[in-house]
This record gives sequence, structure tokens and C-alpha cells, in this order.
Amino acid sequence: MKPLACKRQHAADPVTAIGQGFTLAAVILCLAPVPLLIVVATTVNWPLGFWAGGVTTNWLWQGWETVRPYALFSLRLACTVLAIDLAVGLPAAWLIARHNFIGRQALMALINLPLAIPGIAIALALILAYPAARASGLLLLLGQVIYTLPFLVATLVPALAQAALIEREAVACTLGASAMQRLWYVTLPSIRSALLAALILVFTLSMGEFNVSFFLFTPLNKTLPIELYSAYITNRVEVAAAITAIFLFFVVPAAIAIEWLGGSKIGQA
Amino acid sequence: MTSPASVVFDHIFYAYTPGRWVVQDICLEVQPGEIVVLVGPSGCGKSTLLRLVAGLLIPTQGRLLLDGINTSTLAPEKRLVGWVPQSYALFEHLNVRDNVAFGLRMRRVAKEAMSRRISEMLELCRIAELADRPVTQLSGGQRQRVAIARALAVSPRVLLLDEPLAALDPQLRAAIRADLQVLLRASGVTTLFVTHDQEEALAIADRVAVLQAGQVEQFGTPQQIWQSPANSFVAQFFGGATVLTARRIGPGRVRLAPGLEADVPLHCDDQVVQVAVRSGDLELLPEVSPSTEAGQFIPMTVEFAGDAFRITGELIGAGRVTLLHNRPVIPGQRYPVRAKPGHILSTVGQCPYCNQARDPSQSG
Repeated sequence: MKPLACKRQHAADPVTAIGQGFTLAAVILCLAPVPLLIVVATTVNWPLGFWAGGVTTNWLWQGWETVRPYALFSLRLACTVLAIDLAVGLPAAWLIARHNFIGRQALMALINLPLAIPGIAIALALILAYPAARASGLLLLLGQVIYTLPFLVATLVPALAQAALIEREAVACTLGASAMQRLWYVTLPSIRSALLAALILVFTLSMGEFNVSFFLFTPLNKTLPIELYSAYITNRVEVAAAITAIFLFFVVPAAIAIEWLGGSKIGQA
Repeated sequence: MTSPASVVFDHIFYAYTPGRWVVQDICLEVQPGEIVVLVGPSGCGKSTLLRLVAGLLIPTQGRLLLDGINTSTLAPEKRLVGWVPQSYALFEHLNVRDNVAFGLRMRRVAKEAMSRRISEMLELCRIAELADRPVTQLSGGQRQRVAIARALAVSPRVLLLDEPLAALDPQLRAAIRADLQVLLRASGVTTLFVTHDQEEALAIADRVAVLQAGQVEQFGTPQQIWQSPANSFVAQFFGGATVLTARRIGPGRVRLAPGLEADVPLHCDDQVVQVAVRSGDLELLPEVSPSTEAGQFIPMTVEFAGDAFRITGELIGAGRVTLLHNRPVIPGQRYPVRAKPGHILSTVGQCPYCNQARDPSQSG
């Protein structure tokens, strides 16, 4: 009865049991605010308790009306950031992954630098450097690009550096594929998952970015998280909860998609 | 259909980092339609030679001729050379048919000709029934055939196979090797085949180039390589021979060790000869019969090898040799040993006087 013996041994291991207990506690701790948020957002008068005065969708509607213009702006901004990141980050990742040129380390350090610098510092540096560009919202875009680019590059470099991919490209080359054909028919399909995951990651980061955006937004260029913040300090708690729930609605599907595309592998060589 | 090309390595040198030659002064001529096996230990530069022919690397020095034309600067996509790396490098996002079709698509072959060529290749490589499968669902042997079909589909002038059998189960290897040989003969393409396995080299090649440390040690037919190895490295590499220094005692006869004489293909007057002794060359005699002359052998290790015992030990007055015996022996004890009657041993190296490889077929 070997399997049985195995099972008993497993259950008796105190380290595993403690570990599982902690994991479960952490998961509950992290997820508990979500149902609570939905309860608050659907309660008529939250200060009096759970669903005090009945269940309503009014707050959600009111919240949506408040944030709708900002949500659409945030979506547009995220898509623009995505396009710029891709145009800059894909060639940069390819260079770093494939070529051992002088300054390669420097380029990597430069791209990764924003990870080590607080968002506030990035924002202030941009304001000091380009004061004239602030009103146009250009700085907001630039700040988000600087903030998200390292994540895109870090996800793409290991995918592009795979020896198996380089060999496939070499085979394609001997089969008569030109450089453009190799990129289109071999490289991009091979890094499809990593590329998609990177794009969703950038999208999610841009949608949720607060630090940089808080210093760079203008009344005409205001993102969803900034509006969420002002809702919290100016509105009823029910509306704030409703807006937060709406925000989750934008971000959670993207996060799940990253995991589904092999997000746990991202960043590993 | 492109006709198979000749390949000439004309004093080819290559270094990945300046000053450290991976291959040096390689001179080989491969005839159209010939199967040449490049064999040697890991790191001898054999895969580098394939990459040079494919155009993935450019020779640091020397000329590489395809069909008599210097290709040193010709881009790989224009060479029409099929390369099958050891990993096969199949396009994992495509199915079998699309993998095979890849080169034809890149070359914009007309639809009808393309589908005809694809079915031809699927047929030749016996993967027609797998055509619509994703390549991720194939076994090692099937993947290998897809990779070869993909390379052959564009009618390459030369086919380059880098250790095509290394990734397969040892049990399957011999059968797939035989299949592969039939396939290569049927396609008629000039083939350069890299392996580190001497048995594979002898089985599949028209000619074998033995490489070591980036240089060609010997280039010849499998029979030449086996029967007259050019030097002790080649002798040791093929059949794990021990090279012993023997003294000539008569026409075609040498003494390997005190009491141990053997026939060799020797037809000149050198007094000292290098002889390759393989495990099949010597035999232990049944318990001492003083009348027959015999050498003395002291076993050191005994390995069971299925149909015989592989025994390594000291041949007194000569050196360490390996032989096969049908019964186990006691290590440390002395046994009488002789050359198998009627057996002609291989000599190593060129005769300094005749200045030619000793051809065993001439010695009778």
C-alpha cells in the first residue's frame, strides 16, 4: 500500500502544513476587500451597516457617470503608451538579446533605471526639464512610457534570447527567408505569448499608474486612478467603492490574461 | 530540380574569437551526390564546418566552393543549402505540412508546384499521414524526418545534417539510421553528415573525414579509415584500438610482444611498425600448452558484454590492450594470448619509404 504511506507522510509534514496555512491566510487577506467593496458599493447607506436601507445600483451608475470620461481617456492613453513602448521597446529588446555591442550594459541600465527611481522623481524631473510641454499632456504620456518601458523590455529580452529561436531563424534563413520574412513568419509567432503578455502588462500598468500621473496630469488630461483618488477625498464612501469596483473591472481581466499567457514565466531566461 | 553540387573546402580557417582557431586549414573535396561524414570528438569543429557551408558563418580565411564557385560572401538565403541542426529547430507554431512548405513559400513557388513538391517530400520521408499534426505532438524520429523533408523540399544543392540521430533513443537509432541512409540515397543530394559516433560514420558514409582540434586527421572511405588509420588518434577513435609499436620479423609479419606475432599488411622494409590492436584481434588460449608460442596477458578489468566478456589488461612487454573472451577470467593471473589465426591487423600511419597509405587489399 505504497500510495497510502505516501499520503500519510505528506499530511504529517508540519512545514508543509504551516506553509499551506499561511498561503491560505494570505489569499483570504488579499481577496476579502473585493466582496466587501461590492457590498459597500451596493448599500444604500453604508455608515449604518451592511446593505442598510436596502440594495441599490445607484452608486455604481453614479460612479460610472463620474469616471466615464476619465476611463475613456485612460484607455486612449494606455493604447498610445502601448504603441510607443512597442515601437521603442521591441527593437531595443532585440538589440539587447541578440547583439553584444559596446554600450549594451549601458542601454540596459538606462532602460531599467526608472525601476529604481520613485515615480515622483521621474515626474518632477520631466516637469523641470520640459515645463512648456506639461499643459499639452505630452509629459503625462512620456512619463508613463518611461515608467512602463522596462517591464516590456524585461519580458521580451529572454524570449528573444532563446537559443532555440535563434536556431529556428537560422534554419529559416537557409530556407530562403529574408530578414523581414524571418521576423514576420518565425520570430514574432515564436515570441507571441511573451509579446502579448508584455503588452497586457504595459496596458495594465498604464491604466493603474498613479505616482507619475499625479504630478503630470492636467484638467484636460486626467486618468482614472487620479479621478479615483479625488472621488475618495471628495465623495461619499459608497461612490468611491463603486468607482474602485469599476476600476477592477478594467484591470482584473488583463491580469488574468497575463497569468494565462504564462505570466509566471515572464522574466525568466 | 537542382542538381547536387560539389563542395570544396580550400584551406578554410575559422575563429569565433580572434586568434583561437576552431577549424584550421581544412581542405576537403566532396563530390556531387556523395555522403561525407564528419566525425570527431566534441569541440573538434565539425558543426562549425556545417555552419560555414550553410553561410551562417563566414570563413576567416580560405575559400569555400559550391559547384566550383566561391561562396564566401554569398548570403545563406541565396545558397540553396539545406541545414538540419541537432535540435531540428522545427517551427513549433506550424503543423508538419506548413513546416515542409516553409522554404517553398519563402521562395514564392507557384501553388500547384508547391503542393506537388510537398506531397512528394511527405511521401519520401514517410510522414504523409502526419501532415496535419502540430509538430509538438511528434516523436523524436518523426521530428527528424520533418526537419529533413523541410530541408529537402527546396531541392538544396547540399544537405547538412548535424548529429541527426543524437536526440533519439539508442534502441531506435540503428533502425532510423538505416532508414535515413535509404532516404539520402533516394534523394541523391550531396550530404555532409556530422556525428561523434564512429559506428554511425562507418555505416552511413561514402567517405569519412576524421576531425580533431579543428583539423582533418584523415579523409577516406570507411574501409580505408578502419584498415589503415592515418595515425594513432584515428586508430583509437575507430574501434577503440590500442596502438602498439611492433618489430618487423619478416614479410608482412611483426612481433607485437614477446612470443606474440601477427600478420600485417606491410610490404616494405620498415623495421618498426605501429599496429592498431582492436578487441577482435587477439584471443586467449586455453590453458597453457607449452609447445605453442604465445604472449602473456594479465587481465585487470572484466566487463560482461552480452555475447562475450570484454577484458582489459596488460600485454606483457607491449602495453594495455582489450580483447573479448567467452568466459570470465581472474584478474591478476597470467594467460597465454595470440593473434587470431588468419587475422590481419591494421597498421597505423603512412609508410615513410613508400610514402603511401598501406593498402591492405594488396598484401593478400
